Amino acid sequence: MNNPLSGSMVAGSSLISVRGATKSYPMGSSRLEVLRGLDVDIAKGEAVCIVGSSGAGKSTLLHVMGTLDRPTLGKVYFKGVDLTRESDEKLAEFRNQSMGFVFQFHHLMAEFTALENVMMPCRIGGLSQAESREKAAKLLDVMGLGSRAAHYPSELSGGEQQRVAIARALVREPEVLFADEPTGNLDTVNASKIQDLFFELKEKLNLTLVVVTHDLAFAQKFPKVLRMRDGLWN
Amino acid sequence: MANVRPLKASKPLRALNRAKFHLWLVYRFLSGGRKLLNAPSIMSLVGMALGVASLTAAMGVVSGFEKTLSTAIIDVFGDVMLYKRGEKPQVVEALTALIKRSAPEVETYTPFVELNGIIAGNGKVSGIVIQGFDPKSVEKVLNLRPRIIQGSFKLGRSASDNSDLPFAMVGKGLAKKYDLKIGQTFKAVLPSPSKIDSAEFTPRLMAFTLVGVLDLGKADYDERYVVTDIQSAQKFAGFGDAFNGIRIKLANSDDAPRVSHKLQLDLGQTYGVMDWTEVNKNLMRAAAVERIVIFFVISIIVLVACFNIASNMFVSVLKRYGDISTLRAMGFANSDVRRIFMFQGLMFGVVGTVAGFLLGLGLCVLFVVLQRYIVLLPAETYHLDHIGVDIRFIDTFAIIGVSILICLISTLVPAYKAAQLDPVQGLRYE
Repeated sequence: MNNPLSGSMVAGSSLISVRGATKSYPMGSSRLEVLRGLDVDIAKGEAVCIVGSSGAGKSTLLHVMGTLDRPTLGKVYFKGVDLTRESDEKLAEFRNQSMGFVFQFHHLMAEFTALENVMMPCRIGGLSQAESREKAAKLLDVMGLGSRAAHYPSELSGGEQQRVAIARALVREPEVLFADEPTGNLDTVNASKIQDLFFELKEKLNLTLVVVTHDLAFAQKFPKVLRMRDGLWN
Repeated sequence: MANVRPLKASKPLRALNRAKFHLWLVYRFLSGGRKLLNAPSIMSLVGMALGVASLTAAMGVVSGFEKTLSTAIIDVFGDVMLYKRGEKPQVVEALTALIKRSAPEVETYTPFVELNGIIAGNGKVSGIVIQGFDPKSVEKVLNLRPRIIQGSFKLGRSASDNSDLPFAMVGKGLAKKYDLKIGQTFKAVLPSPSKIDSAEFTPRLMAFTLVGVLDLGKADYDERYVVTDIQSAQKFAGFGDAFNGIRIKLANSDDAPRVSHKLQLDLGQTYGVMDWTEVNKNLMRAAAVERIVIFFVISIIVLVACFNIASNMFVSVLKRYGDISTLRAMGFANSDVRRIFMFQGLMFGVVGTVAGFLLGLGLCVLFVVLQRYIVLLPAETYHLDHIGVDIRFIDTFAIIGVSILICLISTLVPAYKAAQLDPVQGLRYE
């Protein structure tokens, strides 16, 4: 895979390193601090769960690590490259090639079929329609959704929708999969199936998995759990 | 997963694939998934198309007015008219030798006699203009033959004709007013200065046989013109071999003002020179100004339609906040977001403009057809009782170019707004 990033590298063995990440928002005359100088290292192939109460800053940290948001202060490194110095264009290409995202709400695009939704990252990456279709169809088959490929999101169950969202996150074979409350919107049975699927895929694809949840039962399945409170590690 | 092929596409191919994807995405956004176009998109497009159709039809009619008027003048008057003040010329060659010295490009000309007379009948009396033309050369300069709507185009008398009277063709307005029929004889009176008392005049009377009715294109021509051969006109007026002047045809009628100006400068005040643009100068100028004013005024309708598209796009941007954020998470850059909304605006612009232009052409055709059945233009006011429609290349270029440009500019703001949306906020909620 081409490396879209141009920045200089710093020493370190972690896949993702966060150093002194601060995120604050203006609130009238003061500022609301959501992240307060956090450090974290995530190694390649690691499965990390970040837990904490609502408003602890878990999702914000995930967005900062996933380059969807920039820290107010601090640095985020990927394989030693400082992502905070990269342009929006470069980061977008980097996200497309190296990162996959799954959210609490599946965020599938309603006007597109399951297959078209899964094809989307490939098309964004510049693959042809035929090639994208082939990759997406194979992945949907792997996920057991081959027969649902032509269905629109509104025609799928909650569990199926989230599995399609996972397929969409993985179709570009990313190095890291970020998931923000991936089971938060599912019933217990479907939530359990999706949790198992995450670990199965992590092993199969040698993924680095970063999951944010407040489901402690789900968190217990992870070898590494980080706890957050008020923008700091607890 | 192991069977999935790695990325192989080259950079230019990836860029092409991305452009195709952007267009596909725009199309699907506009269609709402399973339909050709969703309702707001259709309404925006209809608004745009109606604006462009109004612009096309208005420009077509105004340009058509100009063209109909100028064609009628050039057909009946010629490109340039040259006449001698005071004593009338008698030898055509002597006059043309003078002209060729000044304007060598003048090669086609015809002598003419113009007389102001009177016609009476049906209890009415009207002033008429008797135009006497040389049958041999008139058709090289004036385009009267295609304007015959009844009878035939005949000048002079042929040996086989039984009538002793000269032939004449009249404008359709005159024929209608005096109920003149083909083959009928009519008389005209010419006031001629008395040789005994210069303050008096004696009437000269001449009868003509009507052989044709002309649609001369302009109401004042149609109501006053009597066209006959030059010899009959000379005889009628007692001119002998003298004539008033010559009518000139140029290779390009647009050169007429320049040639006319040069002839006037070189030949001096003994001669009067007039080109076709001076015949209805005020009307021509008014039409030219009207074209520009109408273009700008009706462009405002297109502008309003584009605001409608822009407002529709603002709604679309807000409605698609979640989708835009998801696309950003999947690797869409700010510029990609901006591009797809600009594509959307451009698509509206192109489709709306093309549909509107075609609709405008349809309205132009309808306008032409309707004139056969309904009086849309009072001839007394507009000098023309019917006008053609003229779709000029420059008008087409301006209509299409300006409409698409206005549309594109009006979509820039929503497109930039979409690109600035924070994806994090869009992903937090369902």
